[in-house]
Amino acid sequence: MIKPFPNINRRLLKDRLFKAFSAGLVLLILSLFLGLFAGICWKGLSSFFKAEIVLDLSFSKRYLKSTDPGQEQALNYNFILRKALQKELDVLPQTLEENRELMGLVSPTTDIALHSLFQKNPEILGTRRQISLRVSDNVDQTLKMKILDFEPANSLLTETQQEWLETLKDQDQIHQRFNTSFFTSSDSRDPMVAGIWAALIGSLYTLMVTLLISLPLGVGTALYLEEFASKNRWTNWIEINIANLAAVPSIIFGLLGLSIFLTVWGLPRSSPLVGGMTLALIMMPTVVVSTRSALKAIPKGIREGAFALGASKVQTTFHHVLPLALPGIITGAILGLARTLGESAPLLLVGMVAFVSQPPLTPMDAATVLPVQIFTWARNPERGFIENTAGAIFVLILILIGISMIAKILRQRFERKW
Amino acid sequence: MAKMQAQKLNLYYGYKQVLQDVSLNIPAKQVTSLIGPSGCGKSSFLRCLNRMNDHIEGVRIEGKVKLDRKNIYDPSADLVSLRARVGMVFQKPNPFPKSIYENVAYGPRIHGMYKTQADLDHIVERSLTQAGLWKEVKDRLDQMGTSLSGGQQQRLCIARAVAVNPEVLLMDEPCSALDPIATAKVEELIDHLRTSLSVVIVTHSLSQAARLSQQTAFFHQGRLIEASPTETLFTNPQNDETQKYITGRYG
Repeated sequence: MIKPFPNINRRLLKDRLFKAFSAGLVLLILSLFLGLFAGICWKGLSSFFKAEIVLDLSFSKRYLKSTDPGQEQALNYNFILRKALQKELDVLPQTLEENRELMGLVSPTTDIALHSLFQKNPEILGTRRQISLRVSDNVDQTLKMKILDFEPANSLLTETQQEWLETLKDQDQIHQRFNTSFFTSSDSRDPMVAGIWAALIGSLYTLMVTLLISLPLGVGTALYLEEFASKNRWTNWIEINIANLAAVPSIIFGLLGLSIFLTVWGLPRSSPLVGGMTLALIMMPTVVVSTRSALKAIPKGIREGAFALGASKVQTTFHHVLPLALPGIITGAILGLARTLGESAPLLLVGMVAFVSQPPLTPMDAATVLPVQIFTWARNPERGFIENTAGAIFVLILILIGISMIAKILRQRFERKW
Repeated sequence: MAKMQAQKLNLYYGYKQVLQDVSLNIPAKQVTSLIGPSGCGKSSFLRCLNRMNDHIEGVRIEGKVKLDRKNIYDPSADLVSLRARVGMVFQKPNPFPKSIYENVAYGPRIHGMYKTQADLDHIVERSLTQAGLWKEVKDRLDQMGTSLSGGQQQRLCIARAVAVNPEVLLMDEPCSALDPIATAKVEELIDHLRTSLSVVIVTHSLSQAARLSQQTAFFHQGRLIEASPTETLFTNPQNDETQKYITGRYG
């Protein structure tokens, strides 16, 4: 019997080899992604937990800074704190150095925290309270390293401080708490209390401005080019340039924002308005391209059907074509938004890199955004900030995944078949 | 009397001439069928009758098409009212991805042809009845038009076209995507529509042309070869090429 296909085995082998090769590539990419994600989780998740120390504080009237009723009432918080620590650890520091060692156990911003606590609850005056306070960054990091059983070359704490810490731990006065202030507070010099709230609000305002500008502009451009403009050399030229615009490095747009929006138009520096306008320029080509492909995907029959009934071009576009293209437009816009959410370079140029400890109230106020906040923190040497950097990256990635999922759900919900 | 008259119509797509000196009268309240091999220009001619070719890039038209003695290619002619008077049904059923009701109501809506909601309901019912679809869909008017079967979709498109009370209905191979049963229904429907309007139908089925139409026009290579009453054309064609085509001796 004659074999009909002499090379069939070789062909099948090639098939199998190619399949294995492709599967290998997919596995490689997946493992890289998982590795990245695991690394960020490993580094970042610890920033969601910070240690707190429970101290018995005396808010005696003796510690009032001024008894003058006209002035805002304030206590000598550092004094209260020192008294409490002295009593707890049974020490009496003599020198300035020793004093600093003692106070180095708690966060340097504790006095601010206590002041705002006092302002909210003035009735604590003249009482003793058990109050849970943030420890200092060095204490927090030492505790975390102990959990991981990791001994650093040079300790962050002095020997005395380490002894005190052991005492406090034995007295069960130190606890790891979920760090809600990471989400509710804004940037600070102290990594123990720094949070991403201002950056989140800044990002929200910036993205709103971006969306409000780039969506109408981009969709309008695409509609004009696809539905109304006649195909000639000029529209061809415009098309090519819009496609090229999508490939321009984003920092160039930052330069444009700096030279036009800030210098020529004199818009407020560091504001979400200018940042959003700059990002809108980056996002617009994406919107144009995705809208055009959504418009192209609509069957010719829909337009012809409407024209044949006597619908004008505008009626055909707005009654039939645009609603049908909407899922594609929404997906494109959301994906473009996801890209701009992660953008930091152009925003550095329009001044959104400032230290911002207050969330912006309007899009005209100085603000920062999440990726720029990550950039700012990453430059700080303190261990706590490295941890916070990873934590903020973790939040950013979660938001991006959430956005992609929303895009997918919207697409499935609106998708029409014909 | 002729409802529409094409006079010395020339059509170019870019440099390619698609129609050459076509002159044809479309009689009122009759069915005219256009036959001929693929690419002979019959569909292009049909699309000249409601200026659908205007939407194609690089198209050029010479000559006149008159509707009730008025040239529809006159610069002052209004495209919207032309298309309301000359409706069209396409080869592939193309209902809008909206409800059955909205599909039919769309034409009357954009032309403002009703005063009350009851008027519109009435137009929808009348059009669907005319298209022989009312009984099948009256309980599910809010369903998507695209959810119907192919034959029902095509009848929905016919209902959509007749909802604006056209005087002429152009049909571009309306049955080519349908099975024989659906085809029979649509044919019956066309025969019925003839009582109220003129129909021009492009078809590849000679038997359909013979069954349905009162006048048949044979196109070949962009020219109108012969147009005469259907019976005459099929039994006693004047032209050799027509003879060859209807006896199936063309490729």
